[in-house]
Amino acid sequence: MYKKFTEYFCIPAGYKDRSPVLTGAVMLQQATLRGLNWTLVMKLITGLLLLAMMQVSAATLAQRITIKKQNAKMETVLDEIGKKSGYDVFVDLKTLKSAKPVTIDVRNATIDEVLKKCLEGQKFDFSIEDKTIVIKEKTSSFLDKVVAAFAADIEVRGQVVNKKTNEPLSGVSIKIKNKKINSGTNIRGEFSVSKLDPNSIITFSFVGFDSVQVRLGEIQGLQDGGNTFSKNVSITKISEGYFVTVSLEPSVSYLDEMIVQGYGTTDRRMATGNIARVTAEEIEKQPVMNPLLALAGRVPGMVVTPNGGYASGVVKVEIRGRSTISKNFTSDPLYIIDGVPLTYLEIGGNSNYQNGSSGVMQGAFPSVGGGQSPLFNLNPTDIASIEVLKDADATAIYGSRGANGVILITTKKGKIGGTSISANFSQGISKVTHYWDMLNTRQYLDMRRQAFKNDGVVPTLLNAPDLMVWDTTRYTNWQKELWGGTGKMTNMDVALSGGNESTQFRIGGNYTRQTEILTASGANRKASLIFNLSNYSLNRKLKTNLSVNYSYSDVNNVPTPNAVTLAPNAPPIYTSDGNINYQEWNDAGMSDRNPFASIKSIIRSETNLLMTNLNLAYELFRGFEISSNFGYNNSHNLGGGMVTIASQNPIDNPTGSASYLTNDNQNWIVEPQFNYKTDIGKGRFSALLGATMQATKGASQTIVGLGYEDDNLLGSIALAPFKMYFDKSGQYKYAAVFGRVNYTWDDKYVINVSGRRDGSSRFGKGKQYGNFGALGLAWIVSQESWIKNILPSFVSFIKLRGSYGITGSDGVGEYQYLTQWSSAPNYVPLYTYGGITPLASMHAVNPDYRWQENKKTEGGVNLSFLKDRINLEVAYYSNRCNNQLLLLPTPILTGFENVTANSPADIRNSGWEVTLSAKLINTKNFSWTVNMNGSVNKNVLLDYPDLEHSPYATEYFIGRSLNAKYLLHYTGINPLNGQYTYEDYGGDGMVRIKNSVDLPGTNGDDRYLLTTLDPKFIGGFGNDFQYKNWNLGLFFQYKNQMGYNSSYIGEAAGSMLNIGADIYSNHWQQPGQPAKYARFTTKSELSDSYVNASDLAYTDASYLRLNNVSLSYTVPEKVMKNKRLRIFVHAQNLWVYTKYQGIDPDTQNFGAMPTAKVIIAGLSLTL
Amino acid sequence: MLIPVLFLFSCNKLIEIPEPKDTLTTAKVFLTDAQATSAMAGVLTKMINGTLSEASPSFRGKITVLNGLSADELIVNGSGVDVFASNSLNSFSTDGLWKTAYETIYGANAIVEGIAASKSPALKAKTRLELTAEAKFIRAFSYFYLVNTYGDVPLSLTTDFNQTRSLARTPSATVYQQITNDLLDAVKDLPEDYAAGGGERIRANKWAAKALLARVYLFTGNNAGAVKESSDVIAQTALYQLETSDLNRVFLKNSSEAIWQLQQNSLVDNTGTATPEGYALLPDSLKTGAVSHSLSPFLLKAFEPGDLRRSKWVDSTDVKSGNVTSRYLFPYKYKTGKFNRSIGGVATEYYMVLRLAEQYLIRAEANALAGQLGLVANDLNILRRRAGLGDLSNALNSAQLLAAVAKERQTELFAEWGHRWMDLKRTGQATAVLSLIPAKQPWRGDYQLLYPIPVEEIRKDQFLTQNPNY
Repeated sequence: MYKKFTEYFCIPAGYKDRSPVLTGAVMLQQATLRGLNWTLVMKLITGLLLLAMMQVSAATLAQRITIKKQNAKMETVLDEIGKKSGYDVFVDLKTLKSAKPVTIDVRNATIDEVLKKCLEGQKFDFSIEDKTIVIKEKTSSFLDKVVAAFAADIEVRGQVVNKKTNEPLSGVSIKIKNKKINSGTNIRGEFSVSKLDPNSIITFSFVGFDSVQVRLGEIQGLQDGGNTFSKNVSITKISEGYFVTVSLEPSVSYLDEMIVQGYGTTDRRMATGNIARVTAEEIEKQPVMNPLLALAGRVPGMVVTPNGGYASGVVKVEIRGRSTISKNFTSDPLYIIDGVPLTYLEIGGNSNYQNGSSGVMQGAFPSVGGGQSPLFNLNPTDIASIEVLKDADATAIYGSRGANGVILITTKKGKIGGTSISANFSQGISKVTHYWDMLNTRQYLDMRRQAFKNDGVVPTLLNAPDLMVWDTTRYTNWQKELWGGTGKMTNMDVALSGGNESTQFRIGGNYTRQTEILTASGANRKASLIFNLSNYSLNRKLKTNLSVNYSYSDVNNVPTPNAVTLAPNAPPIYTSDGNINYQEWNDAGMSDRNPFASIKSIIRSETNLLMTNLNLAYELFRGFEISSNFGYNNSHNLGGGMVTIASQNPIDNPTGSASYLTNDNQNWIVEPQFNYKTDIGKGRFSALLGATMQATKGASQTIVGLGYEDDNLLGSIALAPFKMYFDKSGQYKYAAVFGRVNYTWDDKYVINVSGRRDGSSRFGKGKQYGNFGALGLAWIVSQESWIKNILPSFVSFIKLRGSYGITGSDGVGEYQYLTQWSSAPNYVPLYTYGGITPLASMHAVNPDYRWQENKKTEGGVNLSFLKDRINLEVAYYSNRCNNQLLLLPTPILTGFENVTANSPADIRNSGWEVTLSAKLINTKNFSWTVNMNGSVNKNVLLDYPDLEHSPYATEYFIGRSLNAKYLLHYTGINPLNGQYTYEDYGGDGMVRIKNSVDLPGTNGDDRYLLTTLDPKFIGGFGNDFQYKNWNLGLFFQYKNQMGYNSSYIGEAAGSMLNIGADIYSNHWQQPGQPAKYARFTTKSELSDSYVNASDLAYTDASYLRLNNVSLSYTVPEKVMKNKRLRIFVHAQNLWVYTKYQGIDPDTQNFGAMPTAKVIIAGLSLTL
Repeated sequence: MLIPVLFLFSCNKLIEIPEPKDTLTTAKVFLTDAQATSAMAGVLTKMINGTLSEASPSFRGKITVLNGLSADELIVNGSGVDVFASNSLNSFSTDGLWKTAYETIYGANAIVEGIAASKSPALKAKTRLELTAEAKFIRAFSYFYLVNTYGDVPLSLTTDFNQTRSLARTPSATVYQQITNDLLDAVKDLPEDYAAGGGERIRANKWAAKALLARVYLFTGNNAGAVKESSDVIAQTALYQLETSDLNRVFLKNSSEAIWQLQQNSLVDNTGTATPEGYALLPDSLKTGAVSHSLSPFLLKAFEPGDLRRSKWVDSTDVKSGNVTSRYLFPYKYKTGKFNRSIGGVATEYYMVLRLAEQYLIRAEANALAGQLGLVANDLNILRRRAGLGDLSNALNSAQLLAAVAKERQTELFAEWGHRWMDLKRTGQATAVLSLIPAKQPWRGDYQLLYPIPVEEIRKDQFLTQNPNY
């Protein structure tokens, strides 16, 4: 239409005849003369035809122009355009005087584009016809107003898609400036808005994506047919108006990164709760088999502690400090993998606070490493992200199960596009970092002889076989002997992914094999297959997502004896024919002290883990979705141990035994949900109403075969001369309804309310249900216009947020309210008596315990600077735990050592957490990103009514940390007798610890110094450098803590135990000698054992650890065409800076094996 | 709004779980005779066998060893100081009896309560009476060792932890009264035969209750009662006869002298067919293996020349260490030890708890104390003759007779359930005898005659007090 108009009315008669030889400059002169007329004519014609003139396209002209001007006069610019294009330019010079200076920089642009750019923000329009450009003043005449009035009914329809994947985006918020129209896209990403006028500005915004604005005025004037308006908008003129396709780009801003929350997603900008996110990139860089270990140091307020050095071992995770005073229950958070909780029933009695859950191995004989972490079976490469939910606002939606925090693990999904294959292959080694500096044989024998001399005791065959019987010229470095091996790790991954707009898939496979650094050990192997399928129905109302993850792991390890302190001249482990060398021990009268029996035993654990999840969602009407989550997971573990005859002392006349275990745990969950989203007023409203039904079953069976006469028969239970059987089982059911309401007003104020009613089978009648809820608020301060005006420009974002809520816990194990008689009351069977299968009570019975309540308060500030390049988050929290569930210690005279009950203890964990993420340098060739986090947690027992008459009277102290200890004050070595001395605080003439009965510092107890082993400050610090195709990542971990000085073993040096070299060189030898360590003796006195309870044994164990280094090189695209090849080297635990004197500040137990260092190299290929 | 509505939700169906498959509730245990008997088997097996992981309850040979060390019966071989052998216990010394005894008492209480609460017709009246009586017998037995080890002890007669968690100590006289009452009930209701154990003497009967009652009466000064009860047992000649033909038969399973034995399960790791005492006290190999405890010279001195018990119940082992050989003596009453036990085999011995010989000694002592001096020597001579010794003179006075009883107890009952230790204490001889022994120097005082109560217990029960000087 516009084109036609220009044909008719913008071609002045005679123009065609005008000489084309005139230069642009001359033409300009001429135009000046006649400009007025032209303007008049234009006005008139425009008005008559009721057409608004804005821009004219001259698509037929292929002329391309490059022009660059800075603050130039309009006249000059137009002149140049004319010259370069060879077009005539007509303009009224008078009107041009009001033009603003022009800045223009275009290359190879069409004349149309150049003019558009040139006149941008000016009150001029242009028209082109047949090599002539006419510039005219914009008018807002009566006629234009008429135009506007008539045009005010423009309708725009369209679709919003994800620019990266081309998937339609539903729930995209659509706002029209100065209009009270708020709308959103439907499930197919479609929208329509009407009653718009040319001045309307439409804003499309969505969580995790950059917003896009469309000025309606700009899209008018497009040709029929498709038009690419900008990189994010393409427009098609249709009969009723326009069809606009908007592609939103996933935001690169830290604030707009999408994060997973309970039953949904959010972003950092709008989140009211405290959710930390660890990305796939961070996880992939770490050569660990268990993804939980990749979280160490990455999340403020979370401490990850592996149990021993075994890769398959359990991993204790504690978020925001210790909230239970009971040592019997684990502090593990709730793990949710793709929406399905990984709940393990603690039916085996092997789990506790110190070690964490024994996981898939609930049977009676746990493997090495205190059980097996179920997450060991999860392939880290398949993980898209791990979110850690910490405060009440984030966790309350999980109710009682979320009391210890929630860890959400999301696996990778398929993406729209052609099928791509990505493969990773890596191989690496691990080695022990250090050996303890111990005595050699000469020094050791000298220590022993001094000890006997000091004691006035003559060494005899009986009391000193190491001196009298064993070869005193022999030397073995036991550490090398046991941990001197090189661990090997091989990892292979292949993933296939792709899809179209309606269906996407991803299939991944993995194989990993790893051996430990131990010299006597088998290997850990695991293989997994993961499959994810998403589908939209044609009308995009039905959405289906299925994920299946099947994995197999095989752990074949033997427990390594702690033989570090063994005398260096002790007999070798094996005889020349490879058997365990018992003879020399027997000859020395120490037949029962050979520590190496376990080396020849066999321990095996094979685990199959299936995790499945199906999610169906249907949009009933716009904004209202009904959905359900169906999850099932099942772990099946076959474990076993064999004690071979060969591993036992022949003088015991041994027979072999074997145990066969199966451990099963299955879990299903159904979660129907209603979701409603709409815009109300200037805000977005969303509501969620859902229910959870979860059932978990756990079972373990054990068969023990006894009395084997031949090791070759050990594999068969049928060949066992005698057998014992026992089993354990448990069931857990959990049901809840929950709701969440979120309202965000004008992108400024967010309120998030969630509530939940939980029922659990873990409580007795009448106590099964509990109510929980939370309120979260956020205020995006930087959105307030009055604040925006006064904010310095480098501050791009300010948010204040806070939350308060109550979560609970039912983590007490099954059936504790019931009387239970079992033939295996302590999780191991009773022997029959007189042929009768026995039954005995398992636990004391208390039907009265009820839900535990955790009250969590949090406040936080988010600040972003320099267009969100630097992001800082500071949070303060205070968690109170009341009437907590625990195993209340009872005297054994009641029949049991404890009973499940609620404790009146009031415990507070409070602390600060700081997270900083900054793109310090971000240029085309070089970028430097820094991520930092730090946290402090303070644990306090606030109150405990009648503490002095409770079982905890001497263990916990009001106003102190649960991990606080009272200590004696060390006052030096007595120069006369070489013994440790301590301050007699009580002043009664003797130094005493009246442990357990009297309070420290009372009744002659001399402990009065207070210390706590709670870490004071923990943090992580990551650097990521990108130079062209090179990437270097360095991650440091920092911990400020007091630790146990491993030089002191609580026993005097001089017995048949090897000691640290430092003690040897600095011990007391004769009266009057000042010394750091006491005399050598074979008889430990109280003064020796008191060392452990004095300030002498506690020392600064702070450290800075280079936890991870990753270096990778991506082969340039030019070389690889459409493929991607990356070559990498990853290393773990390379370097530690510490003043701590032991082998490693995290290994405070003298002689224990420290964490190994790992280096792997590999390549990753995407086709 | 939405949220308040949620809180009205309550559907118990969804969270109802069936009772566990691998365990029974108390009500179900006491539904039938068989299950209630299983509960009794649970108590007994824990006393003797422990569990697979914790195979060392105190009734499993520990009393014999620790009391033997505390007295002048056993000595420790090897280096290091043993706090029991030197009578230098402190508050952290553990003997383990407290836990075993109270766990046993809990089991007994649970049976008494469970049967009383059961209305099941399938739990027959006879079973109810007999199991209740047996449970009371077990309870009395446990309290007997508690009161003799620690003095005043808390008296727990219920499974309700709310009542027992803050108990104070009960005077030992009251505890003894309870023991007596329980035993009287047991005597009344227990069967006279061994049918419960399938003919094996592994379940307490009326005579076991009487035998223990006789001992309790002797310990509490009821001499007439002691005489009566022991006489009743001795009179059961159809059931009980001293093994006179061969001393080596005395400790065999179901020997004619056995009144109550505990049956070890031969599948128990390590011990197998050995009794706890045999396993603990016999050497690794009979003639050359090491022993961790050996018989003290004071005991060996007590044997009269020609005493068959010295030759048949004591043996020695020559232990070579380097090129030095040392000889140790060990009790050889028990014939199955580490060297000849088999896992899963058929035991030849059971763990002897009550036997006839003690009843003769109880009657002799009670008669001596009651002034019936003429009846004393006869009972002692029965045992002396069996040991190949001559009869006692008829002209002994009361003190001489009591000394003869004490000596006969020492040589007959050595290395059995701490008899010597308790005898020294109850007759007031402990200080005089023990304070002279070199290994017990310096003698720390009579407070050592009571063992310390576990500190953990005092910590958990603030009403519990420690024995003096610990």
